[in-house]
Amino acid sequence: MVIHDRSYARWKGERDAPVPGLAVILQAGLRRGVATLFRRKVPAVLLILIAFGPFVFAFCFLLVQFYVLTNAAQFQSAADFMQGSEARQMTSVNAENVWIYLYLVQWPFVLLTCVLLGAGLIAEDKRANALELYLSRPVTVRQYLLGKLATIATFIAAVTLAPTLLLILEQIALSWGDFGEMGRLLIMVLRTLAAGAVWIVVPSLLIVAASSLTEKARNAAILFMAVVVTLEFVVSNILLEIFRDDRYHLLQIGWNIRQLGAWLLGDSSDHFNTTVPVWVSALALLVWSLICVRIMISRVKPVEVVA
Amino acid sequence: MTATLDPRAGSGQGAATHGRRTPCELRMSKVSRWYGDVLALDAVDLVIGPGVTGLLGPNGAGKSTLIRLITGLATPGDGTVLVDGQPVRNNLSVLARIGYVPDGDGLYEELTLRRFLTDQARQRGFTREAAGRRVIEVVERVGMTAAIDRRTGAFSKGMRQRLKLAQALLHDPDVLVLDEPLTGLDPVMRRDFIRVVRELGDEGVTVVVSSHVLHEIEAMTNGIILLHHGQVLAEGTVPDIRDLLDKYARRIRVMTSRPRELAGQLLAHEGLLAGLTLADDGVVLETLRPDRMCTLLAELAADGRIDITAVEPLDEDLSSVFAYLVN
Amino acid sequence: MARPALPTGWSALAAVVSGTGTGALRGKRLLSMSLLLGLPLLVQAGVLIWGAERGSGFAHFVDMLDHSYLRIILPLALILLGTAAFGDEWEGGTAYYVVGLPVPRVTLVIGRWLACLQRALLLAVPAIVILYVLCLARHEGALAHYLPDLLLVLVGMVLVMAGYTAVFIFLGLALRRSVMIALGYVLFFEGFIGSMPLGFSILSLSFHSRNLIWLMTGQDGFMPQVHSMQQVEPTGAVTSLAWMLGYQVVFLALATWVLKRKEFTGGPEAVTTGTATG
Repeated sequence: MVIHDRSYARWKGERDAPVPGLAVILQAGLRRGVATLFRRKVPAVLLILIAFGPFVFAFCFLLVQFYVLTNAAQFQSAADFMQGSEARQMTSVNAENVWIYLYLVQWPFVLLTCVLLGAGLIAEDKRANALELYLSRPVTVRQYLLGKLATIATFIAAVTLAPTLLLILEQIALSWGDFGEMGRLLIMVLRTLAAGAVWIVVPSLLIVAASSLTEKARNAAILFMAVVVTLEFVVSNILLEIFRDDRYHLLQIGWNIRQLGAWLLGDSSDHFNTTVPVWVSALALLVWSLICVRIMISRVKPVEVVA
Repeated sequence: MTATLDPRAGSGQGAATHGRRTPCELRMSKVSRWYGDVLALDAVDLVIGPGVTGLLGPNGAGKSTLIRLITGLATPGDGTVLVDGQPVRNNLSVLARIGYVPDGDGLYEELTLRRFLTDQARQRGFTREAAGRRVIEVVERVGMTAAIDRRTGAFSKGMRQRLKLAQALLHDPDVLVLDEPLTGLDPVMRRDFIRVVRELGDEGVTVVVSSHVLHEIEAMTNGIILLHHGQVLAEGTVPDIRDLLDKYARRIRVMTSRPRELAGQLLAHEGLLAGLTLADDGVVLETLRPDRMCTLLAELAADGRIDITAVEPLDEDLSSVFAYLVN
Repeated sequence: MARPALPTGWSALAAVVSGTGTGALRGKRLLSMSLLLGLPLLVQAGVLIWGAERGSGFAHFVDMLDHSYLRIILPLALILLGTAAFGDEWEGGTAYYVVGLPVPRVTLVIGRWLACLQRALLLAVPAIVILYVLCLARHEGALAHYLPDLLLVLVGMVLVMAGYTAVFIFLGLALRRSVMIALGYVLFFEGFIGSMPLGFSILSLSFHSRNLIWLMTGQDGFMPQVHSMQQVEPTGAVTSLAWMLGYQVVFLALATWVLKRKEFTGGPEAVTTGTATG
C-alpha cells in the first residue's frame, strides 16, 4: 500500500511554465563533471591533451596537406608524397578512417569518461540524498534519468563525435566547390552522427545503470568495468577459443558496437570477418539497452513505498 | 593570550574530589593551521583542565580544526598540541586516553550496535569477555539497551549521537571531545545527553564540547572558549568574561507598575545611567556601574517608594557576551 | 573500570583483522565479488553441458585460470576490496573509528591487508577448486593426478593476490580517485607492461605470478608472453618469489607511511563537487 507519493510535485495550477527538469539535471551534471575533471588541473589538462591529441594532429595535417597540395610547385617532394596512394588513403576522410578514429583510437577515452564522469551520476545523488530532493521538485523520473544520460552522453560525444565531425567539416571546407566530394562528405556527416549515436548511447546507458545500482561511485565504476571487461575479454574469448564459433562475439558489447558502427558508416573494409549479421548485433545492443533502462527505472523511484 | 580554565568552572566541580581518575591537562601552544591560503587557526594558546569546557564560535571559526588537532586527526601547521605533556598525533598512549564524538554521521550501517562497539573495544585492547561487559555498561549509560542488537543503519539521528557517545566512552577516556553533539536531538534526548556530559565533567573527565548554539553550551557548562576567525577571543566563565567588558553598558530590566517614577529617581543620580527605555510594565536601563545600580534599586525597593517586582540583568547570557565580543 | 593495556602484537593484529571483517568489507561488496568470481564457473559449467572437446583437461584449466582469474577477475575483485579497505573509511566519514584507535599504524595496515586477503581467498580458492573440478571432471583419474599442480597454482595465486591487495590498499589510502588509477594499473601496467620486453615486464606482478606458476607446475599455458615470444632466459623462481614478496613489503610500507600522514577532515567526503570514483 502506498502511503506517501509525490504526485503533488506535478501539481497543476496557475503558475509559471514548469521547470525544464531535464535541463536542470543536465546543467547540474555538466557543472559537476567539469568540476570533477578539473579538481586537479595538471592531470586534467594532460588528459585532455592526450584525448584530443590524435584529433589535433589530424586537423593540422589536413590543413598542411591542403596547403602543400595547393602550392605543389614550392613543395614538390612533399606534394608527391601526399598524393601517393598510401598516404592519401591514410589521410582521407573516409568511412574506414572515421571508423578507426571513432572506435579504435578513442575507445580508451570513452571508458575513461564513463568511469571518471559517469560512475557517480546517480550513485552520488543517492549517497548525498539528493535523489530525494530532485524528485520532490517538479522533476519526473524520466526527466531525471534523461538528464543524467544527457550529461554522460555530452561528455562521451565531446571525445568521440565532436572531434570526428569537426574533421569532416574541415574536409568539407577544404573541398569547397567540389560538389561531388562535398556531397560524399555530407552523407558521411549523417552516417557519423548515426554511428556516433550508438557509440554514445550504449556506454551511457551502461554506466548510468551501473551508477543507479550502488551508492558509491567506486563500486559503479568497478561494476561497469567488470561487465565490459569480462564480457569483452574473458567470457567471449574463452568461448571463442573453445567452440571456435564467432556467434560468441555477441557477448562482447564493444564488438557489437563496432560492427554496427562500421555498417552505419558504410565501412566495407575487412574489420569483421564474421558470420554474425549486423542486425543481430543491433538486436544484442537493443537488449542490453533495455536491460539498462529497466534497471534504471527500478532503481530510481520517486515514491517511498511502505507495505 | 594564555589562560587556564578553572577545573571547577562550569560543571566540573567534582574533578578534584574524584580520586581514581588522573586529572588530564590539554595544552596548545602557538598552534596554527592553514588549509591552503586559509588560516583556520592563528597562534592559539590554550590550557584546558578537567571539567566541561565549551568551545564556542560561529561556523568557520576554527572549532572543528581545533578538535581535529586535539584528537590527533590532523597535524598542526605550527605549534604543539599536548595531552599531559605528550604530543597527540600518532601517539598511541595518548589516543588511548581520548574519546571523540565526531560531528559527521558516518557509521558502519550494516553492523549492529553491539557488534560495532565490540569491534571497537577489542581493537582498544579489551579481551572478548571484557569487551562484552563494557559494551553493555556503556550502552546502558547512554540509554540504548533496547537497541543493542539493532543495525546502526536504521538508527535515528538522536540514536546515532548516543551511539557515538557510547563508542567514545568505551575505554573510559580521560579526555572526551564532542563536536556539535546536540545537533538533531529532540528535547528529551538533548536533556539526557546534557546530563551525561555534565556527569562526565563531574567525574573529572576533561570534556571539550563544541557548538555554535550558545544555549547548548550554557546548558552544559559555564566555562567557555570563544573562537572567532581562528583566534581565541575570550576564555573563562560567562560572568568573568562579561566583567571584562566594562566599556560596554550593561542592560537591566526592572519591572514596576510606575516606570515613569522609577525613571525619575534613577535620573536623579548623576553618572549612573547610560541609557533608559520606558515600557508599560517597567524600564530597561543601561549602566556602566551595575553594582551601584543594583544597590540603588535595592534601596528604592526597600523604601517602598517604588514597587519593584523584578530585576533582570539582560546581558549575562552567552548570546550577549558573544554578540559583544564578535561585534 | 580499569582501562585496558594498549593492544600490541598478535592480539592487536587479530583484533584489527576481526574488526575489519565486520567493519569495512561487508554485505553487497562480498556479493559483487562472488558474482564476479563465479562468472568463469558458469562459463565452464556451460562448456561442460555443451560438451566441447577443447573445453576440458588441465591445459584448459590453465587457460581459463590465466585468461579469466589471473588477468582480469582477481585484479578487479581485489580493486573492489583493496581500495575500499581504507578508502571507504574516508569516503564514508568513518575514518576516526580506524585512525583514532591506539593501534600501531603498521598493525592497522597489515591487519586490513590480511582481512582483505582473507575475504578474497575465502571466495577465490573455492572458485578455483570448483573450476579445477569442472575442467577435469570428464577425465578419469585427472583430478587426483593434477592435485599437486593445483596446490602449486593456489600458492602462486595467493602470492599474486597478496601483492595486488597491498598495491590497492596503498592506492586507496593515497589517492582520492584510487579506482581509476587502480584500473589503469591493472589494464595498462599489468596488462601492457607485463607483456613487454623483460626489462619492463619484470616490474609487473602478472609476469612474476605467471612465471612462478609456470616454473612450479611446468604448464606452458602460464609461460609469460615475453618468454614464449622472445626466447629470453627465464627468470628464476626465487627471483620471482622475491619480487612478489618485495611488492607486498614495499606497498604495505608505503601504505603505513601514508596512513601516518593522512588527515581526517571530517564527515563523508563532499559529494557536491564531483563524482570521485575512489
